[in-house]
Amino acid sequence: MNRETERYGLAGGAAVIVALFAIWKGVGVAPAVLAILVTGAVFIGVEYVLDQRQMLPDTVPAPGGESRVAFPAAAAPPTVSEGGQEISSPNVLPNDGRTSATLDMALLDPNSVEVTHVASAGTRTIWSLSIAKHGQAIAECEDAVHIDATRWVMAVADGASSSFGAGRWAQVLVDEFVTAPPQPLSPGSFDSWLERSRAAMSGGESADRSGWWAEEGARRGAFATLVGAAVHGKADERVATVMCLGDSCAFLVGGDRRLRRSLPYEDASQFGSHPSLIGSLPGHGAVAPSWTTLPVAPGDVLVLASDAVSEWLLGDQRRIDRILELTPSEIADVVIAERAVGHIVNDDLTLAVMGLS
Amino acid sequence: MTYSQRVDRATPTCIIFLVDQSASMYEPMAGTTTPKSVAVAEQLNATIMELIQRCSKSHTEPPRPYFAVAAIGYRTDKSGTAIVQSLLTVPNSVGDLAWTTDLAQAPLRVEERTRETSDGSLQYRMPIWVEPFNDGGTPMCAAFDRAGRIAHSWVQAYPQSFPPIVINLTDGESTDGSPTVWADRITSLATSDGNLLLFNIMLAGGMNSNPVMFPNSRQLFRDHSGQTLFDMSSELPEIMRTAAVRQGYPAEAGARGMSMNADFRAVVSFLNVGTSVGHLLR
Repeated sequence: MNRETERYGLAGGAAVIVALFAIWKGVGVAPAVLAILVTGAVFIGVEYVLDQRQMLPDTVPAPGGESRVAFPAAAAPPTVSEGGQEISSPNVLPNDGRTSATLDMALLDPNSVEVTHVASAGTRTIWSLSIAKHGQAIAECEDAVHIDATRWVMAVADGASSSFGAGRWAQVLVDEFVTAPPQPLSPGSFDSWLERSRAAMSGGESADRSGWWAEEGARRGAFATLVGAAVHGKADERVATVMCLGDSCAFLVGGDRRLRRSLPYEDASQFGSHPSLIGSLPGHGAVAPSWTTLPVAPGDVLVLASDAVSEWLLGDQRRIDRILELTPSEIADVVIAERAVGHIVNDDLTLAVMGLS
Repeated sequence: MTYSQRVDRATPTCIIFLVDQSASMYEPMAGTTTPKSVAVAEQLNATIMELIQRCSKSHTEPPRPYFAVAAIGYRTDKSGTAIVQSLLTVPNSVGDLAWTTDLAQAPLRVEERTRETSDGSLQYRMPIWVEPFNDGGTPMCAAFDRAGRIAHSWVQAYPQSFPPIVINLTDGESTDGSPTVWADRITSLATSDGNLLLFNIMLAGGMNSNPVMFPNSRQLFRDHSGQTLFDMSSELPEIMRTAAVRQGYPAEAGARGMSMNADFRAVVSFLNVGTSVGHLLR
């Protein structure tokens, strides 16, 4: 029996029962006929409504793979009409148990900023500032900075986020640079320095390889950019030697607060998505840094910065003048605000500042 | 600027793979003896592995939840009824989506493999999430519908994210109607960073293939199936067009995320380009 016949059969049957009941109770034939019509119509009507519900636009049934695991506490998802058809909105995946509220809290987390005052005496202030990416803690920052105020050597490295162990590799590079910098004029000095750095990286590696991805990650290694500077010479003929590899930048600001030189880039348009990088594994091959020697004078300020903040500084040269008037924590407020409105990309931000006396 | 949102915990990205599991997928991949279904499963596993690797930061923490991945197989049963189902069995997955963090912990198995390199043979471990399968017809409309449902709730949950990416791997024409209507529907979903990206790859059979990769003109196709595939494939955003060029494909302005007559190499490149949001990763 098809569906239509079944419906009318049921309706007719019900109507006949009602009619027989009416006749048995002695209400007469005419009301009995009316009862047949009304009951039949009601039955068909109810059936019709039920049918219409089943015929409501539905998307293709989803057998098998539908939600095998009970969905954790997502509020009843709205059903939104799109293009005249309803799309049922099933489950919304919570990201690591964090709600948007907890992410906003991370924004305000004081642990996303780290200021280090290395020395502060007269004009010779030396400090560094690191800010983790929006939504991340300072421990997750993949920039690294190291300053030796006694020997006037400093370095900033920026680990490439999509590589494995990038934060640690950045730390190894700045530590190795500051402890025993490669010599610009000595042939092979950089290559052996790089070999030492790579050995330091592999030596300190954790034996606990928690999964296949860590093994694979270690096999692929890490990448980073590096900028380092060392100041040498007597007070009246001092020079700064700057080494650049990739798009972390160095700035020399004069005593008049004017930007005198920026390395390796001079313009914000030079930043691209594929800077030169130093790989952590021997298989990543050799790289050639650029070396520049700059005469410096008391009152000058040397600034090293990772790429996002460098790009911002070069976008308007008055910025570097302005930030050098501020304290590190005031600068943190400025750059976080600039990042929040999109003037600085959401990246780790690091500044190392050395005022020369 | 669209298609430039960084990928991180706050703005993760959803990637949906649609896998044709129809009977014809048993036929060998162009120029090989490997069934298309086997080649596709192999490459899909490699792509999921790559996505997880990009979220892996250090020995001390598991891969981060930067991508939510779905792999949906589509075929029909004996009576021609569509079977559209998730190919991933990952604890903590929600509906069809699994985070890279959870995928990393729960492959079906991890195979010990050897690869020949210039430095000799290299031992490595290859996790497997998806097994090959082939039977029945090609209910592509039903598959697009499923992708639309997943993406629809995703864009509501992550309205600022890089938009969902849907990659459809097939070897034939739809057997449940015209998929262009469905393609239009799902590509109308959007986040503030752009519309959903739908990429289509049509696998080649036979001895030879002459893959067409990332075409920028409908006029290149005389046949209906090529034109249909072109119409329902999204234009590559600039970051992916650049990735295609870096892989050696011309990919001129207006290039679509589409490949016709794809051989194995084309599948590899296509999946690389279609998921190339690497430098947006934080």
